[in-house]
Amino acid sequence: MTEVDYKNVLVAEDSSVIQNLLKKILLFENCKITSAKDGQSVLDKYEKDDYDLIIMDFNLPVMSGLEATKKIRSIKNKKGKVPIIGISGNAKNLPESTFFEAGVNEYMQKPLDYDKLIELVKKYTASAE
Amino acid sequence: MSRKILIVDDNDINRQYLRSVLSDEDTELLSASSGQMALNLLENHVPDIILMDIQMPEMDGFECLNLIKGKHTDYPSLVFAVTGFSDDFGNTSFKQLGFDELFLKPIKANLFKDQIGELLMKWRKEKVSSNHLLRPSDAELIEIKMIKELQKYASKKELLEIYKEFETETSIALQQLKSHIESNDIDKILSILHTIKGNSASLGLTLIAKLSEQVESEIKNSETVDLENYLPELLALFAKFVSNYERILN
Repeated sequence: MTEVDYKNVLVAEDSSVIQNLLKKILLFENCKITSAKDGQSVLDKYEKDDYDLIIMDFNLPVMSGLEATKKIRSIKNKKGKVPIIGISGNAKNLPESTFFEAGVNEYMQKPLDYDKLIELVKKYTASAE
Repeated sequence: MSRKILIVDDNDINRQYLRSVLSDEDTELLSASSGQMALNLLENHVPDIILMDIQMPEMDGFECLNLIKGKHTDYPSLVFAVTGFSDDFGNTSFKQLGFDELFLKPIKANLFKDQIGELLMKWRKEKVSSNHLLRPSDAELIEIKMIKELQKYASKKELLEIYKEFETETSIALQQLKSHIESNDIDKILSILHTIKGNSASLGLTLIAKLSEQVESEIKNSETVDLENYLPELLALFAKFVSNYERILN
């Protein structure tokens, strides 16, 4: 049996409900999920390992997902260019452009459309082959 | 509109026809070929609509309806009579006999679908205004479409685990919400409501999501929201979810 080529996905989300939901759903797409529950641990984990994709909730404790996204984009090498899918209930009613200016590749509003999410995950992990 | 519909008809072709007319992503369909089978199904389901054939052997539609209403006095379903014989009802109106509407066969697919959609929408609005929300149907508690969606990715056991996790996480959040309301910590109240809204919406728990959203936006728009009033409502809805989700998902 050959080893399955999986994708490393970092899921930044403080609710374990959504974390586990995304784990179940992305398992089908050969994704290996690493969880981070606050913005700082996203950065810590991101520095330690290589990821093919980050799914980032903006409403995170300690450091917001928006802040974490900006920090990652400020890294001036290949690592700083990782695709980021931002998700949010948009508590502060920010205009969508705020998320794109921070550097996300895609933005999805909660409640999540799971089919759409999978489509995006496929799109952004395919180029990492 | 998320809905669960029970079709009661002894004729296979009629049941299949109604199923094909009503089937869509928002709808869960249950079929019973006899009144007794309908009663058995209602032990485990709270549908939004029951479509009741009148002339059936052993137990007819009138008797079945009487047994349903006798057992559940505030049953939160609309019951429509579906019959080919307009004189089934003689001079008595279907309303007097306890039905919410009468449909005569042959059923015209599109018209029928529109009509029952309108009746259900009207019924839901009335329930909201008379504060009947404390007796929600299954499809109101958990969106049918979302269950179908999640079933693509998770087994029944996994699905139950996900909802169980929501129960655990939200119980803790509601406790925290209570103490933040006592200390009037608006930022923390908003943050918890926001999380509950996002999580419940992601699991198709629309009633909980809508109420959290309503409170969240009212707080944002004015500082004088009567949170003491909203909290019991949210707790009551959550309790409804807790006591019903395992049955619904099973």
